[in-house]
Amino acid sequence: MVEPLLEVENLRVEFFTPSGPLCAVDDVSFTIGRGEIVGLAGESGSGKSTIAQAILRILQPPAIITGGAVRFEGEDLLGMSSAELDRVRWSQLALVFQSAMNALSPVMRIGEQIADVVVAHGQGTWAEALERAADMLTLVGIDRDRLRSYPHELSGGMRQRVMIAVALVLKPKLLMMDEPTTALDVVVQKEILAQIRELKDELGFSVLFITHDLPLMLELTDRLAILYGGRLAEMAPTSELIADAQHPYTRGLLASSPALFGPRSELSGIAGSPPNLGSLPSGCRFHPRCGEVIDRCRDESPELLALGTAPRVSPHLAACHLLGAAS
Amino acid sequence: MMKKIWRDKKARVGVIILGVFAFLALLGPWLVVDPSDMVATPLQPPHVAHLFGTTGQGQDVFAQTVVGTRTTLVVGFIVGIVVTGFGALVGAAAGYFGGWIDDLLSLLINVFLVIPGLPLAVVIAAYLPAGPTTIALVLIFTGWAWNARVLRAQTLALRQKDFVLAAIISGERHITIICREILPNMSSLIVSCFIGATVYAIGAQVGLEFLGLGDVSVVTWGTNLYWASNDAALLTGSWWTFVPTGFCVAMVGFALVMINNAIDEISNPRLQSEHTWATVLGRAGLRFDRRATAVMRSHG
Amino acid sequence: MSAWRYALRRLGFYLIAAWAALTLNFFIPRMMPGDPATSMFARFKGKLQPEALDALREAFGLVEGPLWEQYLMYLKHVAQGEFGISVAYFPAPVESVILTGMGWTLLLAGMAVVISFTLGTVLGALAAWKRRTWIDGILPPAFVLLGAFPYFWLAMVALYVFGFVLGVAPLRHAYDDTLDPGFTWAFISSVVQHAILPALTIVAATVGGWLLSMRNTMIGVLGEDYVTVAQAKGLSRARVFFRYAVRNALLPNVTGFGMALGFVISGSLLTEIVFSYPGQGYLLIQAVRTQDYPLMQGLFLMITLAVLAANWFVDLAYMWLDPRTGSEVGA
Repeated sequence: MVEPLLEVENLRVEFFTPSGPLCAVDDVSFTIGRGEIVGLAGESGSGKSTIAQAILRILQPPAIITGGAVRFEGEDLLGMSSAELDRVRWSQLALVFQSAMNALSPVMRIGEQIADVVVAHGQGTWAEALERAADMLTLVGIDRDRLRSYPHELSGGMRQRVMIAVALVLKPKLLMMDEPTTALDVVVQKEILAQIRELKDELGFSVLFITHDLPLMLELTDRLAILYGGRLAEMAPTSELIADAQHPYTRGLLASSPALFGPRSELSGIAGSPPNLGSLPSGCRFHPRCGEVIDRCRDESPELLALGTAPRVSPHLAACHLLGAAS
Repeated sequence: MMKKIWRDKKARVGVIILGVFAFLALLGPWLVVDPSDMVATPLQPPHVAHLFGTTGQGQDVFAQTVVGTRTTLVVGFIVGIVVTGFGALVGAAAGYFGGWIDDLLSLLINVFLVIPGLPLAVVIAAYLPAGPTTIALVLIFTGWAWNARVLRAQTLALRQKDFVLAAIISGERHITIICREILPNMSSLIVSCFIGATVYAIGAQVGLEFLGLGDVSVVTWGTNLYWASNDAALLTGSWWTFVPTGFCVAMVGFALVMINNAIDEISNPRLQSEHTWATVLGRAGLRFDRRATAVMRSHG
Repeated sequence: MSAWRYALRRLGFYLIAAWAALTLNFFIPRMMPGDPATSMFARFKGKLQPEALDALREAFGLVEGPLWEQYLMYLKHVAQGEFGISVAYFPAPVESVILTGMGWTLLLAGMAVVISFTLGTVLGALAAWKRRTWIDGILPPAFVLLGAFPYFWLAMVALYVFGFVLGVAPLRHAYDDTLDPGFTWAFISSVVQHAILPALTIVAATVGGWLLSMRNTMIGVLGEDYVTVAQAKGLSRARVFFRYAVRNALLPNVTGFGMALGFVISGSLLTEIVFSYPGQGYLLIQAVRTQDYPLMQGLFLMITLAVLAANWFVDLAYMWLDPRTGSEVGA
């Protein structure tokens, strides 16, 4: 079996608040292969953004990574010093933040913000770096004259493209995107997604795509992981997940996505609200909202199990007691 | 809240210092000799009989320092209260009503902020009969704008909250909404404004009295310094005539700021979390590195 | 809205503020109990020629006629730069008395404020950056304590220690009286010698304020996504610190600088008094001691106008620092 590009193993992240530690990411494992687009979906508070930032080790206080491993091409990022991280970060794996408005310094020209990465990694002089920044802008569909623009002079869609250019300028092997299109209107959203796919084909990077927008995921990703309350609920190749969702939560999400199931089908949605990390329910974290709850769900936390018996490269995993009961 | 302040080490120091001065303000005049009496040879350095020495008129500096506490603190706190109350009123009205009312009040606030306070205070105080009342009035007139500005900004933020919008839709009277919904919800900020205003009031009061704009026959910290300077304390080398009073002013100011910081910290969940986080990190023997999230794999 | 319209709008605001100060100046003597204006003129009687007395009355707008006529008369005289006649420096006109002190105040307060702001900003940024180290543990509380002392008291202590006990600093005035003012080495070095201690006290008293405000904005900025991104990009520490964090944290601090200017100037006036430094503060206390109302009011106006002008320059600096000024998003 080929070594995956990124391996996240039993990752655990806690926020240390005065009222006690909150476990935002609990025992999450997944892999991303070379050239693969993997999606990470969940409601707000499910831990999806935390995972991406933990992989890059850029989570701010009061977060601490309290367990697991993150291996990038076999090297454990969690064991690295900040100097070693500086070398790997951005040149190998980069992150596009949810809001480009906040992720770009408002008082610096965008050209400088793309070019300084190049200079910092010793890949050229300022003049060469600016030239490369201009090329990057062209690549993401922005006029190279915009190099001297400030972030506020650009539209929301353009800013997000600039962020993509910032992320891709060193040609990383893994591009992580945290809800990159949430703040944009649908047309711009579509354009940017098409662009990412195009760039991926051209540059050959892998993508970890994070969103709460399931239909978007289904269009874009090869594999999909569903998070609930900081834990993986289900993970499978995207087509398999659509056809054969196992977890009641996944089914609920799919049922509340109108784009997939005809224009006017009734929105069933999922009753209740996402769990509060401060007071997680016992047993399966989804049980208070689950329509198919059984007694066991209340006391015992379900394990993530593979469906079927034959070993597969990308198995279909789900964490639900009903699954065990059926098999 | 009080308990939490007490638990904070720095704030506790502040509360204790303030308590000592409150005690002096309350009972001080009965504990020492009459500060206006000539009790000994002028300009004696500190010794056993006169702990802080004597002034150029032969008065006891210790007695003057103790007795000066009352007027200074009373004026300081009264100005603090009025300035905060007035600032809250103007700020809340500007932020709540918006539109031309806000435009007008904001203009007024900003004009008062930008006009330097001391020269204006001097001009007004010079025309009024000297004394603590004049000083208080002048300080209120020149000092209300800062709090109004801070509280206006907070009102603007609260104005958008659901509970305020709900109160507006349900047709409650504006004054009821401001008093019941808005002001109570920024109480910690108002307390912090009050403390800041009191620090300002004490400092500015001492400054104006030092200039000779107070009633120089009333014993206050400001007039003590006025007399020290008038009696050429520097040229005679009699440092004891001004050093104790300055220390008292600084102690009270420092105590108030420490309490204010503690309130800020307690009412700011982010700072609280960071504190907890740092404790956990410290216990694990890890150092804070801004550039990489801490990893504690042995934990739990 | 363009940046220049922003500059003009701010100028408009300062003109309104200046007008408000002028109007306050006009009404204060008229609103006070006991008709202080009349008693002031009583003091001039016998000292002044009747024509001179009339001229002074005009400068104060104290002419026969309705209030608005008096007000217009007063504005006309202010516009011509006439503030009346000084009692303390009789018979010099107030405007010329003020001008003698203006240069010294600008030199002392201007220099001290710039040094203090720069130093405080750098230290505050450093304290925020070095959070949870000894730097941040010591600097802020130390400066809070220092800032709690009245400016002029610090000045008295400094003067006592360095001037009186150690004898390393001059005791009074802005330069050695035996020297003739001029562009000579002796004179300039004497001016510098005389300015160092007062300037240092002002710096010591005010640096804590800038330090704390910069530290707090900086802590906020360090939590922003763009700083996190800058760090993740693998930029050098210096670049993240200066180019991303400090550069952004500077903006609110510059706004605060403008607003605190009046306050700081007030404090430095008191410092001048302690050092007998011949600036506006020294004139102010002369005016208070001799109940020289025309001089007092003239000083109030001049200091206010100077602070307003300085504020406008700060706004221009802000405009230059923040590319968003005047654009919709930046508002």
